Amino acid sequence: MPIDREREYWKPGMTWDKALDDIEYVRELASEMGGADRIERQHSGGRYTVRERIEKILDPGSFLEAGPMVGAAEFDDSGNLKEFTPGAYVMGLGEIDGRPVAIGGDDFTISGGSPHNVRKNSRQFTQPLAIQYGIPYVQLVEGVGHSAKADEAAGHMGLPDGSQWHEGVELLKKVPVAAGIMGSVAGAPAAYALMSHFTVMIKEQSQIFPSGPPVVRRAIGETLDKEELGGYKMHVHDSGQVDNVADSEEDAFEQIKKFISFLPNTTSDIAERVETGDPPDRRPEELLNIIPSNRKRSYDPRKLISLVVDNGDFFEMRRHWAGAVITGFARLDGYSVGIVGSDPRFLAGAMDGWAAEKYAHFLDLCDAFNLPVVVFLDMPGFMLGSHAERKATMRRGVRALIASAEAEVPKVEFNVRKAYGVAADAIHSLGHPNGLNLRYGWPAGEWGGIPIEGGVAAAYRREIESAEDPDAHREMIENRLLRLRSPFRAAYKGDVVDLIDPRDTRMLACKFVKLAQPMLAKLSQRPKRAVRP
Amino acid sequence: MATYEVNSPMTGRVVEVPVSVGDQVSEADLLVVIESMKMENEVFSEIAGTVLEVRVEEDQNVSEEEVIFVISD
Repeated sequence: MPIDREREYWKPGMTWDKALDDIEYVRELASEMGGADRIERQHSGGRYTVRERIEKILDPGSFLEAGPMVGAAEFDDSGNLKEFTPGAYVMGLGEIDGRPVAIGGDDFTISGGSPHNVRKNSRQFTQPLAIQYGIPYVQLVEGVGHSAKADEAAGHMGLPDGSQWHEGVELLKKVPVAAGIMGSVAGAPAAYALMSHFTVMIKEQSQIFPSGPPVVRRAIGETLDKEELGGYKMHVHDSGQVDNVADSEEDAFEQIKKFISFLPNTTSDIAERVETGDPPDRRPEELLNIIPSNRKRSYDPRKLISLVVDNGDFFEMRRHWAGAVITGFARLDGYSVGIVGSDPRFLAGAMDGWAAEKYAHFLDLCDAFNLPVVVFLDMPGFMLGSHAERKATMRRGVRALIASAEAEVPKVEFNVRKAYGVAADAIHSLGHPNGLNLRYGWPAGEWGGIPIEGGVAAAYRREIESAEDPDAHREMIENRLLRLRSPFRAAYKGDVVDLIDPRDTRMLACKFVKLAQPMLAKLSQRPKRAVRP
Repeated sequence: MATYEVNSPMTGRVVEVPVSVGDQVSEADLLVVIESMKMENEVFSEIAGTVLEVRVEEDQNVSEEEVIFVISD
């Protein structure tokens, strides 16, 4: 619908019916966003418009829009509307699975979603409301940030003053923040998106960077297309900048909904229990033999986790990055929990710098949202060698240790196989030393300060070297120590609460989570810091 | 026909190479076992195709990221 420049516009003194007509008329103009051509371009690129996105992610009919008439309006001499461009942002309140949320998204059909001369953005309505009402905040980002054209129009280049970010940091302290990166996102919108507790981008549709290919080419002469520079392979697989990848926009919406479903409305609440119908005393038979008797062989750790949690429903975060550590959310007896696991199929489950960072971040997230943590550990120690050294593995490992020590949420830990050295300490040190800090061992459990193989070679080096047959001598010492590795010996000393039948893992984890609830209620009242992505 | 390089995921010692040049491999077929960090780490093909080059043999040390196979689809 093109704007009708001949239309006589409502003025004071005219009828209320005429006013309502004009409200309807402007809303109609606003709902057309950047116009049919731009909408068509959005659709032919396989992308939804921001209004379609909001409609799809929210419960049907629940959207309460704020500022649908906000836009750049120009009037002629007699006060009739001459030009109108809606603000490039759509926002409001709504519901996801019956829960209130604040939501907003960039309208890419208008000036590429870049802020223009209309002030319409999340800081006016959605961000403050999410904080005041204590409800999750969802942002669907598709904007490219500051435009040099805007500087020319303003005749002034503003000094960045940083004030626009404070609300975003406040949000990170108080409510769940989830971002869908819906297209090419650069500059300030990219930073807004990353200022979240959960980020998801779409395969071959989304890219994120401080600046896109033309600026990169001009600055450093590197010629890459936008997918190579900031697509999912770069940022979900290689850099870990974005948490998850989705196959489609619908998949991204589902992941955002799922993420929110495990969290409470604010960092001062505990997550609501949901009836899942999975009995807490279920004994998964397959757990008994899931760990191979050959300790050099691996197994599927995600299967292990799925066998334990309610209905096998495990929502993983940062699945494709720093693979030695697994992080995600699940329910046990209906209670929401954070899960930390090891993947022996990736770097043998050893902690490198990235895995340490992934662990520390995830733990901060669980601590902020008062989620108890369930650990399935199979960690041979820090990853060794030059590649791991370049990732500042031990400094980041120490950071993981500190994250554990500072976190106050309770944990239950199942030492399903290996737990060696400071890397395992980083995870073991979660939970107050005298508190609800339950540690169980599986029969495959083996642990220590250093694995026998490397440990013997180092500590008995002189003795081995001076032996007649050094290899045989080393093996002899190794065999002597191997007897000490039995988890029974550690159980007799009280290193673990108990040595258990793996099939009891679920039952014990469910008991733990229930017992931890009063403590979680107490912890929810602590002031929280912003979780740094 | 496109060719793909398979990089070693870890630094370690090759203990098994079940494929040879000219073999047809499917996605998820085992290409090599590398002993590292006291584990036998299995490397699986991410594509289906023909093995053009095998750059490792048993008992050889490999470095993380080193190209160990070339496969064409």
